[in-house]
Amino acid sequence: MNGPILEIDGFSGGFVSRAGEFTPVLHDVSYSLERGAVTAVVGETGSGKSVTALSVLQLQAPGFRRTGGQIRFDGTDLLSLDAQALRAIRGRRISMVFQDARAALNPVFSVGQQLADTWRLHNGGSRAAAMEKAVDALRQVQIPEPERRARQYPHEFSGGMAQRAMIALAALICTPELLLLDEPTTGLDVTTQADIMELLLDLARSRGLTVCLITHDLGVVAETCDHVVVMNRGRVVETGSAERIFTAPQDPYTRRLLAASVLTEDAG
Amino acid sequence: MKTYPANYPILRVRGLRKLFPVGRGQKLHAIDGVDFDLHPGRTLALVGESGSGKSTVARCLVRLIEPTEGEVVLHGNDVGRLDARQLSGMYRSLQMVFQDPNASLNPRMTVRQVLDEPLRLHLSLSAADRAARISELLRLVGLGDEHLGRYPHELSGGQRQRIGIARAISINPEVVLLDEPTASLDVSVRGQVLELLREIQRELNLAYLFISHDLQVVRHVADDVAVMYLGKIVEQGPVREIFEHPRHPYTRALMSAAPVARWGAKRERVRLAGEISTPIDPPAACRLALSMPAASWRRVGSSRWRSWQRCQDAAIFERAAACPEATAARTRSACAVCIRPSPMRAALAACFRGRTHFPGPDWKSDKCPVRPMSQAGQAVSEGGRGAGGRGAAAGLDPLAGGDVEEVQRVLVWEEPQLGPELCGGGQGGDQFLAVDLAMDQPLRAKLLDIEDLHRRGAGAPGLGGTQAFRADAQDRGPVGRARELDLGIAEHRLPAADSRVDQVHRGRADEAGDEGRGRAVVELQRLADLLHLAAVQHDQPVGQRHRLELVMGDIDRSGAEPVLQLLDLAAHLHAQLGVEI
Repeated sequence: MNGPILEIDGFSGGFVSRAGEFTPVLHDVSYSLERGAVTAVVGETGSGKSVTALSVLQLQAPGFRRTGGQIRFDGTDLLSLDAQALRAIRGRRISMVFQDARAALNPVFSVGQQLADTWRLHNGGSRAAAMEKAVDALRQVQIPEPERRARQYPHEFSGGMAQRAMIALAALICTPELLLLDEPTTGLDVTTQADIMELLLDLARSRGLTVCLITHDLGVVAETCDHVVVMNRGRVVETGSAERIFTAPQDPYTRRLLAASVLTEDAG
Repeated sequence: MKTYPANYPILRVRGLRKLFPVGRGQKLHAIDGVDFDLHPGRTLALVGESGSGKSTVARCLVRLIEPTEGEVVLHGNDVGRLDARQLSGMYRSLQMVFQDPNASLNPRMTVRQVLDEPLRLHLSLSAADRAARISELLRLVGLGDEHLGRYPHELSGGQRQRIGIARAISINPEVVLLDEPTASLDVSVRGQVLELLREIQRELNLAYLFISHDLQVVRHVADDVAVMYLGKIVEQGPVREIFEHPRHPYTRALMSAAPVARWGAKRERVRLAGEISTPIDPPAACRLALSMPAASWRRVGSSRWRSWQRCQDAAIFERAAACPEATAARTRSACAVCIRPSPMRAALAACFRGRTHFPGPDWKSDKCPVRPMSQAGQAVSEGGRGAGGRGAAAGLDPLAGGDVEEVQRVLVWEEPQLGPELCGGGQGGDQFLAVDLAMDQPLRAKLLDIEDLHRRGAGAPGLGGTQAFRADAQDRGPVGRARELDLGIAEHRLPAADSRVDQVHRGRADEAGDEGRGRAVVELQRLADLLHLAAVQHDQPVGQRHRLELVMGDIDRSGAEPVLQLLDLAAHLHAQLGVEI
């Protein structure tokens, strides 16, 4: 199959307040994700990058109203699907890693249990086999002593370890075609951050996954991504290959963002 | 703008410690002996990852939490001794900007009220003067009077942080503690806030303590940097120095992990393998030691030479920073070497690779830091050769023939410039760092020349430790004497009056038990708070296993190569002596 795996086409929308007022937040957002590539969606707080990504899985906050546009995944318009059809795609074909992994994991089940349950949901099989799969996934994301760790609860995981477990869940247990990462390393220490990004890229490249990385950290983008989509105030201001965006940015906002990201080194 | 005498440390912190009890008698060492100075008009950045204790330092400084011990001297006043009323006075000169402006501003107070409060509390100004001051402050942080009536939720993140800064500087402090002031801000705003901070610093001649984990920001704003790891400052110096020549393995790992938003900017990661160490009851010496995974040791050891090589890259730093407590606890055995100054390390490694020649200082020169040992040492090594057959058979005996002398040269090291922690309070003069690559073989006999130490001890006053060597050595032949030292003593000068060192030596001499000797070494190291030196080997009474311990010093700028060589040496020992690892 050729062509982009995901196309967001003229997507617009906004939030309706309790008083009934409508505030537009997305204006004609269009970008597409090439198969097997790592695409970054960058922007600052309020740029609409997360709302757009959440819309792919129809996970926006209540109060969001679409006013126009389409999101096509592999040719299917996701926005026209009913709940059941959507469930067949969520997790199975598109999965997502959120910023705060410890909040994303269920605190009352052990980490291994959550992975195993998800595996069974998608693939069936015995509990024991699913748990084995879970431990194996934890091992693949380089969690030491995966057997012991699988029995632990999310609160016993450090931020970095929990994010590894989430990656195991989203990328290995779910075996999706498209992986959405919403600020996966924000809030982690730099060394952990670098480890997690490396792990993600290894997994993505070795499995031919399409990855969409939503981030505000251009440092991470420069090192890892093939394509970049720059968003500002609900609009896509520039798209292009990572190299072009970093070496020859066209849009003034992109230039400002880049300039702000690289602090000059003289301390004055 | 206030002026101060040149080089005036406005805030001096010495030996600051904060332990939190975590139950069952355990203590979490949040800060474990931190020293630094702040100077007017300068910025000291405290960097480290979460859990390194950097924020705890700030909180101890303003006594939001009480430090367990240590001294914080602000303007000549010991902050730790102030009562509540004096403390309030202290806050006039010491203010803090917090990380999260959403949390640090009262949501029910307008900007005017937020800024008015410190003025009312600390300065006796009329209402009109206060209003004028508030307007001035807003202007200073780039806001205007139109913001006066607003509540925090009506401001953007950057504006809120500006209010936080305005509040901190409102009463003309001299020192401002900035705890991750830009961590919650977007990059475009971050630059503005940093610029603002810098302007204010210039204008008011403020001393900043800038706490951050963002190395890019630190490089941008700081004059000096202190790197914290598990409650200790592992490296401290001018910003350029630290960024361009990081010395401590942890600093290197940290630097190499920071991403750069520039196309083609490649970084070479330095990794610390293993899990994050725990700050709960850490070992006395090296913090990184805990990061050392015992598993990799065993894996390395069991398949010997080849796997040593394979594992070198991954595990260098953990091994390098290992200290005896940690290795003893986590491995059945380990290997050995010590060494702080890099020429020595390289030389030693070169010797053990069987090279007959290695580049190095001019041995004959008086200024040469490495001195040859005496003839007595030669005799010892002659005596030991016969029994060194195993090594020779392996074709690896590095001490055969011409090498002997070279090895010996390396073993006595005089280095007056070593850090204060090594001087142990001694004043100047020569220090001895003798390394004994101790083995359960006559090899060790070749490696230590008691007579030489002894002679030097007599020649150099204050070498308390060597007296003990003399006592040990008296009634024995050269080989015997050397054997007596087989546990490998890293000797350095402690104050002559320090009887603890003597005790250690005596303890070692008296106790036939290997465990005792091992303890003595560990104790000696603990006393000196050093992880820099000493090759240690002692027998484990249980099961008669050999135990070699690796005690390598901080890796300095010479990089990984000497360490690799030392690992070769370790492998060599392993292969020759069949030491179980």
